[in-house]
Amino acid sequence: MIIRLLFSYPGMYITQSVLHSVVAVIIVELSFFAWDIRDHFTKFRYRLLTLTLPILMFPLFQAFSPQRGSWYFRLNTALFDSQRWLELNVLGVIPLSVVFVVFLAIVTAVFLIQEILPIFRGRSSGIDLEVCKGTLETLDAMLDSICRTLNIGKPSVCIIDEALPVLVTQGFRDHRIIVSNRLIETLEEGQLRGALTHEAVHIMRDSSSKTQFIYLLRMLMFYNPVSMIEFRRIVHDDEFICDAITVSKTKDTEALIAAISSFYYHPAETEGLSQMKERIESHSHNLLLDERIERLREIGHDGPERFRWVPFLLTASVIFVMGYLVT
Amino acid sequence: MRTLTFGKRLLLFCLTVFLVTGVLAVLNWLPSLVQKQTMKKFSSIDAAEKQLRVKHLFLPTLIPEDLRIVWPPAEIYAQDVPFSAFIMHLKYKDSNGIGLVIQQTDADAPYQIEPLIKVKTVTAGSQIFIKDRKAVLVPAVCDDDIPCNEVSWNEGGTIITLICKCSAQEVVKIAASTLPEP
Repeated sequence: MIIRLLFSYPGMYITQSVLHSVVAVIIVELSFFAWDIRDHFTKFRYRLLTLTLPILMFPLFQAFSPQRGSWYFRLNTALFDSQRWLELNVLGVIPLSVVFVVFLAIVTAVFLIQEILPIFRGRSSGIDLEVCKGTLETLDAMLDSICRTLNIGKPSVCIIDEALPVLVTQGFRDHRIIVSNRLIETLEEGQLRGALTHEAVHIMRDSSSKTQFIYLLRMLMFYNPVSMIEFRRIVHDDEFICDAITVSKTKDTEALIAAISSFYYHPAETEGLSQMKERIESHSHNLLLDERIERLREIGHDGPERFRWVPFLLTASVIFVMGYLVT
Repeated sequence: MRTLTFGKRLLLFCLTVFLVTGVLAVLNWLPSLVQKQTMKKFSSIDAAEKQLRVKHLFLPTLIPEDLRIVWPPAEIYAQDVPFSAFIMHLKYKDSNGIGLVIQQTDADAPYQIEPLIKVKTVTAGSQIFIKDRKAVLVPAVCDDDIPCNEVSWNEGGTIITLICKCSAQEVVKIAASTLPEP
């Protein structure tokens, strides 16, 4: 039953899209090594290959080369045939096809619990971003000068009464920067300028729309563990890119580092499952902040590196050809 | 690392691609070590019979000379796992094209093995008798719009299928020659 399902067209799509993602992520990571890619702007584009190509490759290959799905192609031409593995039995008892389906089901469950349920429950953040306490003239003036430097329309500012440091940008066309009074009180002028420039760079790069589109791609591959990981890495890359652009504009790396440092979060040391979850989440949040600071110290005031198309196209071509030969 | 030229980086990239290719080839080969009876290509019918538990092979004893189809088969594929299957591809004398496909698969197989000759359009099949066995004869159009015929029947739990780029009479003759006289 499961074998028949996996060998059907939708089954082959699911299996091969996962395999193509694995191959793509390996090729991309090796490309970073071979072409000495450290810049996150470049990494961002390469990682998009791992999200986009596996969605398209199987139907494209089957449309232009229907014989690719045949046993004859898999036996004589394919570099790797997933069906050989799926037909195996682990210890002669459990079919590997069942293990594979259970694994995809677990990934799907993680997607539903971590990413979909919070949307419906509306509790992705305990902070109420809708209660604005107005704005500050100094903040407005600072943002005005930042937006003129970046040549973007000035977003509205909303100050919220919140004990935690909060700085987020909302909206797709009419943007709004939400900042907590705690952050304004904590940061010095240069640090606040760095933090606001970072948000303004997100607006300049249209990060919200990009993230939504990339998330849509990730949702299409809800069962794919590689898409889940790569989506998160792409979102992180966007933060690194905005940091690099910010310091190239402000020329004040230390101020941005200090601003980023103010977002470290250490939950209270108490027992319990929800506390454990909070500690894990804050640990991964703090790790990202560490990485951003480390990267800022590495690049100094340099902006993103020049994007090189030849290595990118070579990498995309290799992923495409390998994908054709991985069935 | 930063001082490497584009040429050297390209070479490094090619090496990594070869490495991935090698790993994939090894991973593709590993299952054949664990399960030896999965689909494989054999050099001869005897070699396949020796390695697999083939109960009974239905081999044609007659192939009309004018079809210019060569015996023994140019390609032989067979498997015991996940179900029994034996496939023979017979080529033309004067070209590399396949003129006749003979497949025998377990009637209880969970999925069908698609024949190498693709049957593009099929008109309604008709029931015929081949040495007292009920069979289905399907006139069709195969690759390159060549008229062809498919005949298949259940022989004691084994589905025997012949697809031939020849006339209905010729494929029925070949099919009948695979069976013992009643």
